[in-house]
Amino acid sequence: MDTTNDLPNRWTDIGKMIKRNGPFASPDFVPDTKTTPTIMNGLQNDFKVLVIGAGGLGCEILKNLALSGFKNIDVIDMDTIDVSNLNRQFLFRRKDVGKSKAEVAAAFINSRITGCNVTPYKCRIQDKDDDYYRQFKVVIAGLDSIEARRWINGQLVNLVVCDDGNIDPETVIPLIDGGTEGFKGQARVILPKITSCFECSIDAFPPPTTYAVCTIANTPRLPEHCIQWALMFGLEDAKLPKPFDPKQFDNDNPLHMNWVFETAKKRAEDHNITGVTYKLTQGVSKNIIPAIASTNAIIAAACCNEAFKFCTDSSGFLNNYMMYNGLNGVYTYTFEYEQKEGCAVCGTNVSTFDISPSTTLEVFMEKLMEDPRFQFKKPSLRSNGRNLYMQGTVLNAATKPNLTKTLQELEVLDDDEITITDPALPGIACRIKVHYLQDN
Amino acid sequence: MFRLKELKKQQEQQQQQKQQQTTSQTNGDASSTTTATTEPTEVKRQNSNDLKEIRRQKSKDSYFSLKSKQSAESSTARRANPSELRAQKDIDEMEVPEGCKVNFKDTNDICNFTLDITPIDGLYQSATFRFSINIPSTYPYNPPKVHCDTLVYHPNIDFEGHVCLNILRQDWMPVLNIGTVIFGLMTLFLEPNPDDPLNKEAAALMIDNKKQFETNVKQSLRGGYVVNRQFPKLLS
Ligand SMILES: [Zn+2]
Repeated sequence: MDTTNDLPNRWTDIGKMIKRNGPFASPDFVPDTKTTPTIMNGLQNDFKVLVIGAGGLGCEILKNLALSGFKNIDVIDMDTIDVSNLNRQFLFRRKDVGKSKAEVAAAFINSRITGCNVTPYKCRIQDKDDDYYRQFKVVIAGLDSIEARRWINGQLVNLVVCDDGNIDPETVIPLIDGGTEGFKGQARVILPKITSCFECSIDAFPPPTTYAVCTIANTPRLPEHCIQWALMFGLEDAKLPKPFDPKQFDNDNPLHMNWVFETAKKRAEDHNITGVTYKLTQGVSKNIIPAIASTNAIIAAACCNEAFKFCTDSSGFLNNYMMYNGLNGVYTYTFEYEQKEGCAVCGTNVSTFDISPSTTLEVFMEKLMEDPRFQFKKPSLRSNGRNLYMQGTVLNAATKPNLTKTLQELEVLDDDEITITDPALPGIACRIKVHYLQDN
Repeated sequence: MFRLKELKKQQEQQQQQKQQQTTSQTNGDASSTTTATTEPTEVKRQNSNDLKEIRRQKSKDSYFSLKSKQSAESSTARRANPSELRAQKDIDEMEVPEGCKVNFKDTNDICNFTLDITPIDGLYQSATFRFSINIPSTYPYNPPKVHCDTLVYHPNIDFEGHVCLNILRQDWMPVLNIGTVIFGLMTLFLEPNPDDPLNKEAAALMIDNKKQFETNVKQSLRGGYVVNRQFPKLLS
């Protein structure tokens, strides 16, 4: 796209960052000029950005990206718009309730911001394949689920091609992860395989709010206790009539949620507790803390700022974690999470192991133990969701007969991944890719 | 501040050094004349490369064909998720306490199993209690899910099979593991805790009239009735 034909002065503010050098710019940063608008061309034509989640953070992120000059944006969100989203998810209107978040958000941005091309996908991130994710310059996640974060983190780590320990930078797609919980939030930049990943620090992730079962069952004091009682005990209690099958319980279904709300309200009344509302019921059952619009705005701005810096080289980017707390005043703190040795996701390279498919598991394991690349002492192996050999007392007897079988007989295919745990390993596990040699 | 292109440069420099080393080794002497295996201009050009430039230089076609080559190698294999990896490690390395037995319905499905606890001491000695344990896909961020399948008269377990054990709820930490949970469940039978009751009547009785509580436990384990409820016969 020829930017000279764009709306007059449209990108003046962007120009201040990409047309001038600055003390924090990358040494290789070459400012754009009228005749060589290289960076602007990149933003508008080359760089494709993926936004995961079109909720509170997602709306802000999409708006920020579009107004920062990015023109090729994909957005994935499987959710539909709920009336309670409207106060902060400003790309949605009352008429949109029930429609796809991704689709409505994309249509809004496309119609409002000339030339911007947002493509929506109403699906799960797991539905997209490796090739899909490879097309992006950067991925920004505005998610509220640990599971989805873990998945995209693992996916982007897996896309990194490592040759003999050398990381191919071309295959490194940064993950910019934003998250908010009430007045607190965080933004982080994950360079898969290079800096600490989401999994490296999962132990430090604030745990979900839970209450002791006995408190919920016997001594409820908070409205949350009553809601959790309805979810834990009420759902299972066959004596309580329900307008749905409790096995099919879905916390996105208003009929189901209304039942939880009514049941929790009844229990609260029985225990003289006030404060059970439909909104709180939704929050507790989905484990979400009420969202604060300003927190979303701040965190989304931080994320988009990082994406912009990464793509334009106009400044070095965050290394690698910024936390924000707006509970008492405004507080931010930036620090570097370190890569965890032996992290289950990024800590070990997937090493390729050449072997003949007619090798028995026993011989294969001997060869593994002899290989100086690994320092295995008592390796346990699994592949494709099946045990190959487990050393521990619990599964040893069940897997011992496998030792005399060949890899082929054990249904290990060429290029399959074998995960190996070993008490001698510093981390969780090690992954090996089998490469079959042709038998002569 | 970290820049991706610096990594690329570092790696290239390392590679260059490696190349230099190998050439000098093969030449038998470390004379300085053998250094440049790559044209200096070539090196310079490589060094100035960065992610953006590489991508721009390569035509989009060749870029994507390169990518799909890589994906052909990786997409067929099923990648174990981190919770499954952690479960593999936990299960393989745990020491099962005496009196506990882990059973898998499907030995390959390591995220679902049952645990039989036969306390070797205490009030519940020699009776066997079965628990179903599920490792959720959010493990170890979230704790294992535990259900008691055997009807039991116990202050911390209700008649629906809910179990009140702090490390399964509010005190769970990702550094704990499946072994710790099994150990915790065993402890429940050795030392029932009436201060965290799920079966309120049993807990109150344990505090107020320990003798009667013990009689009730014995009776329940022999398949008798306690407070109008019949229990399965676990002891003769
Ligand atoms: Zn990691």
